[in-house]
Amino acid sequence: MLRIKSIVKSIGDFTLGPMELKVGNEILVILGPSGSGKTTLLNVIAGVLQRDGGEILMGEIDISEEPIENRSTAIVFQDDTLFPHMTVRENIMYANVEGENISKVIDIFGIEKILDRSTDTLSGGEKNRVELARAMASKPKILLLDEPLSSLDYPVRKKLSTDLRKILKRIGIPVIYVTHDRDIAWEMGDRIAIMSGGKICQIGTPKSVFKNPKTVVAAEITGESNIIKMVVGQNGKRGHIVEWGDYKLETQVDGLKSGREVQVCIRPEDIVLRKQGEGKNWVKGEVIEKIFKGHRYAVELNIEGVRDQIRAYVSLNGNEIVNLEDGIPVRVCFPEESIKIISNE
Amino acid sequence: MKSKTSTIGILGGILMIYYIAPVVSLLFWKADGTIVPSIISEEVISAMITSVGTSIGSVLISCVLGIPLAYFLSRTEFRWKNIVLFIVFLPLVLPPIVSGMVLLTLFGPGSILGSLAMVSGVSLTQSLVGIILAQVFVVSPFVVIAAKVGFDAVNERLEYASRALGRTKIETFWKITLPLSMRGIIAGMMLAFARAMGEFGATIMMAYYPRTMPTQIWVSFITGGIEKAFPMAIVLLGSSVVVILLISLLGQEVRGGRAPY
Repeated sequence: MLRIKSIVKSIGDFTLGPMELKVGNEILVILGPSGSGKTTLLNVIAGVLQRDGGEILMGEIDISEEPIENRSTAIVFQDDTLFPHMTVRENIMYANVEGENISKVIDIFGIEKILDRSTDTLSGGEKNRVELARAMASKPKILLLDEPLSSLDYPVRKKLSTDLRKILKRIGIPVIYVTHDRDIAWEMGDRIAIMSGGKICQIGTPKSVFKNPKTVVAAEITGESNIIKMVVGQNGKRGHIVEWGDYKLETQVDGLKSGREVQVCIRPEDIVLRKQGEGKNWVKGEVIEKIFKGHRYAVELNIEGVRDQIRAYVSLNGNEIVNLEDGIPVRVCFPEESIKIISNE
Repeated sequence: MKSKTSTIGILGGILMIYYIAPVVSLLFWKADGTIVPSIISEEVISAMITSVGTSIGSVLISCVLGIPLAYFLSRTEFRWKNIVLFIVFLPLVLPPIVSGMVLLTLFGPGSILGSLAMVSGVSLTQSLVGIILAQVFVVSPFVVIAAKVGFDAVNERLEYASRALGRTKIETFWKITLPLSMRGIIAGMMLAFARAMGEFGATIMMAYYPRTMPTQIWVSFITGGIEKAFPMAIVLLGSSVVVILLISLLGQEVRGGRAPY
């Protein structure tokens, strides 16, 4: 178990923390935009950067003051850090400080055929495998991965991320995996922590974080979102009504103060588009543009009576897509369970 | 584009010819039967041994003292770093004869250090020690600057990765940083050696005896003209080339790759 207590680190104008975090024998994905402090956090845990305050505990042992080499944390950086003057085998053996049998690590990562190759002859995927194998050969108690797959092409990344999750689950140590790629995050993480401005703003299972983002950053980094300002109205049947221009949308959110302006997040895939539609949470709209997105269309919409432009997804083969040409009037429904109130952070 | 390349080629070619022509001219200047006996004369061999020995010693001392300084300057940010770098560059910009003068004020017979050394039975001038003191002053900046460039080129993340794998700072330096920066260090050693072999101004101020090759060439030149200095010049040229090739081969061995030039 890794525990981070009140960790603070300032670099120029940027401050990481104060932060609390517990990581058990699981894969915790830190998901956040560039500059949110993900790499800084890893570097502080690894000892590459010295913290300004707080504690880092490995079990019950405080490792905050320990030099990098005594922390039992292996770190795989974003860029290639294989030692270029050593072969693959020498890189792996270099990490094997205790001289143990490392054939298992070689086998797990499938690198037996490239052991005698120079590192500059390896492909991106092979380099990643060797980096990870080398990290594991050092018998770490915690594995820190800083976007290790980010430089790979999509098919290689997809294959390696699937393999990697299986391997990491088999190893059974705390793993912190930093990424800005939400697809990787969904695939790798037992839990996902959303990081923004040096702080963790939300943490939970991939599903809970996606379904119920708590902040604007969490909403935007976990998927496409329509972020709209609305005003809390009176109570409805299951929660507050939110007012959007002249529209009154029912939600399942309660506990808010009437009259307060709030940010509302609605995922494009939750929005229903029809040529006809009346009743609760239906509004009038007009198609601005239909954009082909591979497995679906994204439809940009103007909503009558408000200035916000929103995006909805429709499937390629669905009936709703028929005649969705630019300028066509449509009916738009925001199901009440899809309306999430989020904070401004 | 083609004319640009041609212009670059012509200008570069002129400079290359300017480098090579005097050396070739020296070799062909007086290739008669008197050269070989002159080369194997006692004074030439003595001067050659003195120059090669002191140059190797100076380069080694420069490495022992200069490589740690280069590593420190490469890896540490501090307030007075530019001043330290200026001090490192100072011997390079001082005229060698002035370097000799300032060294004499520190190590000469009338100085405190010189007097103390003399009491201990060591002469800091007119001795091999004096030659090495002069050479180290003049050539060590080459080692420091080239080694710093070598260390700068090593990604610090490799060092962090090494330490995160359980290796200490010292182990990381010897097994990762030093081998990867060896190219720069070898280049610095080559420059330093070449400069030490040819060092004249500071050396002659510190030690007229024992004579190094440049001193012997000068003495031969003023007593017998270019004819007398010629064999020594050939020897200096040859020995410099041989030692630089040896250092270069050492660099290839250490790096397992190309020579550092």
